[in-house]
Amino acid sequence: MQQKNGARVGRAIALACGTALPAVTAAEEVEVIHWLVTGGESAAIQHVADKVEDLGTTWVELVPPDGGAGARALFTSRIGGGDPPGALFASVGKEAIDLGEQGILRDIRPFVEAEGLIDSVPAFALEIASLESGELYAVPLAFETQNFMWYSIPAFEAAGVEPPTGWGEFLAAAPALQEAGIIPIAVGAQPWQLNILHFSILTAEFGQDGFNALYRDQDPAMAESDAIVESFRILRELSVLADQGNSNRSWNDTLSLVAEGRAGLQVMGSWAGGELAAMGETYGTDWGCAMAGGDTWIVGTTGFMIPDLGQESTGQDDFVRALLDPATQTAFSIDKGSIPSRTDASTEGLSECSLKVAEGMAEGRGLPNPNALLSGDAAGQIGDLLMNFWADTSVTPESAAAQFADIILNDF
Amino acid sequence: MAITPQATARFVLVPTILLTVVGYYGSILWTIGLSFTPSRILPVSRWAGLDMYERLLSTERWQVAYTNLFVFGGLYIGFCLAAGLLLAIALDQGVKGRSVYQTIFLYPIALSFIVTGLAWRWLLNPTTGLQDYVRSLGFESFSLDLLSSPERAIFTLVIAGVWHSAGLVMVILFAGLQSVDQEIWRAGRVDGIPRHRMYRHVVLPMLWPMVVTCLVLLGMNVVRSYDLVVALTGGGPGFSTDVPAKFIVDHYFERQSVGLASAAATLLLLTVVVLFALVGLLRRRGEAA
Repeated sequence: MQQKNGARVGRAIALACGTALPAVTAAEEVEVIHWLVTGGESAAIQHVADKVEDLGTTWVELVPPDGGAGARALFTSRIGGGDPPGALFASVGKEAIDLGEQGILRDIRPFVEAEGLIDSVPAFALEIASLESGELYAVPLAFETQNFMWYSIPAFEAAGVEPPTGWGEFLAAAPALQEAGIIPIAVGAQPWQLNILHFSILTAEFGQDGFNALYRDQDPAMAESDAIVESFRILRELSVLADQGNSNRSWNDTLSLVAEGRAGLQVMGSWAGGELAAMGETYGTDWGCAMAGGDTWIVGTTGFMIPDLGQESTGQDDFVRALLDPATQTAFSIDKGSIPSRTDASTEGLSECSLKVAEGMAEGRGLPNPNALLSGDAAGQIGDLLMNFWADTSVTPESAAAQFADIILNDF
Repeated sequence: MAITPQATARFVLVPTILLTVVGYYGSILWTIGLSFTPSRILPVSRWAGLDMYERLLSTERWQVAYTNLFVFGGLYIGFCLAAGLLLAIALDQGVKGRSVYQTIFLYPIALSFIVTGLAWRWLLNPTTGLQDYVRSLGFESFSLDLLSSPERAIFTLVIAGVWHSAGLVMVILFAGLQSVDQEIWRAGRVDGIPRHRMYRHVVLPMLWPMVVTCLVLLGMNVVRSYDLVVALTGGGPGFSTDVPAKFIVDHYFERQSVGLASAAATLLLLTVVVLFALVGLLRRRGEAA
């Protein structure tokens, strides 16, 4: 009995030592925090996992049950505990720069440049996660288009007008829609939805140069220009055209108004396309997609932030290679409904709407999601401003534009 | 030296006490400390004095949210107590099928605030809910657009909240009414006192501790009225139905504005401490009476 116990203790000690020592013989692994869990999303991330395993690294995923907020909490506590994970799923943007400046993230540029992985990624997608001195703190994987206009073909046919290509045209067509008993524009008044609507209008108004001057360079001349006032004027007209039930309506409830032909159109990101198809509606006969005014696609960049592990990690390197592998990117985007961040990746298999975006991106007609250029704080304040402006008709476009400029110019 | 049972008990409690002191009160102190720093995404320890409080108090959204705490809280607690009390008295009269009613009115409390909020949001949505349905029946001028009006949307929160919690008050007060000694009722009848006066002057004062319990339970619902607001109005239209809890969560977790959120949390804590001190006074008054 005594001896048996002794043997057990011995084994326990050996085990403890084994875990304490670096596992030399075992394969490298990479711990990835993400929350891609719904059907299409989880199929999409599986392509990345497969590629990582193909490269000889063990894929370990940490999926918190409560989505983005939980992931961020897990990430923060792992960093705080001195045990950083291999990667964190994120929308690429200012957060990466913030964390990078605090020394938490790994400058990934030397590695990806040496391997020639980012040559065809649009410059803005790298700039939004780079310091001016060049350090790059996040890896872009795919683009989610923000400024799509999803329209109901039967609704516009019933009103006898063509689906619009710009905001002036839409406002001209709105009375005909109303006469036919159709809600001209379906809107869900939640901060992020109004934000998408607003920056779609704004970008249609002042184009690529204006966008960069405003959000990237925070140029006061642009922030106080008439284009901003005009964007709020259009938004005010839309707030009158929208139906009463818009308050706090989720984007998919809103989309179903378009799917049923009760509303003319909705401005929403690329994810709405998959939802319309899932509702059993057919592209081309029931619904169509177009750019919500202007000639530039606004895309959110989805990707991963790569923490600094304090040492070389083949696992992490393999993960980055997998993220920027063209075939993996295409497979990911087909399932996710996005488009690859590498413009030289194949577009075969992407949906018609995604193809329009991919074409535009290859021609350089792409811009980052403005939220990627603003701090979370400023983006939140803009959300509050839009919500208040939308609901309270006593706020004039001029005063809203002034507050808007104030928020942009005071952001750091 | 012999170990007394008391010493053992104390020793066993040490981990719990430590956990409470460090985990709970420690976190409170930490939050208060953060409210004096300009922390954004991660906590920093640079002193910023009252900057965050100044910014907070000049933020229109916070002013609305803080006012709503009292508007919503007052109406919600008031109506819950009134409705719960009336229901309890009705049950106490010995209506037939009492347990059926009891189940019906208690049922909403089994639902989370999220489900309550969603259900009422769908019902009250003018485009797709009740209004649309009634209009489709031919009543074209029927209008029920509480949810879309910034002035009235706060009442939808009260309606949904009362629907949810009145049953709880009913059950607690009904239990209290049941425990009132039949001798007291008999004495009242002998003296020829009408029933409603018996309730007002004799029975209700006896139920005072239970009313205070309801007050505390409902009060806690008001302070943490985050989920109901998120599910029902999302704080809108505009930010007309925002509440402090939602303001704080938004700023902590979505806007990476830790300093500002901590300042708001500290003010909310102060408010709650003051309010609960008042409730404590009420309770003592009840006990003295």
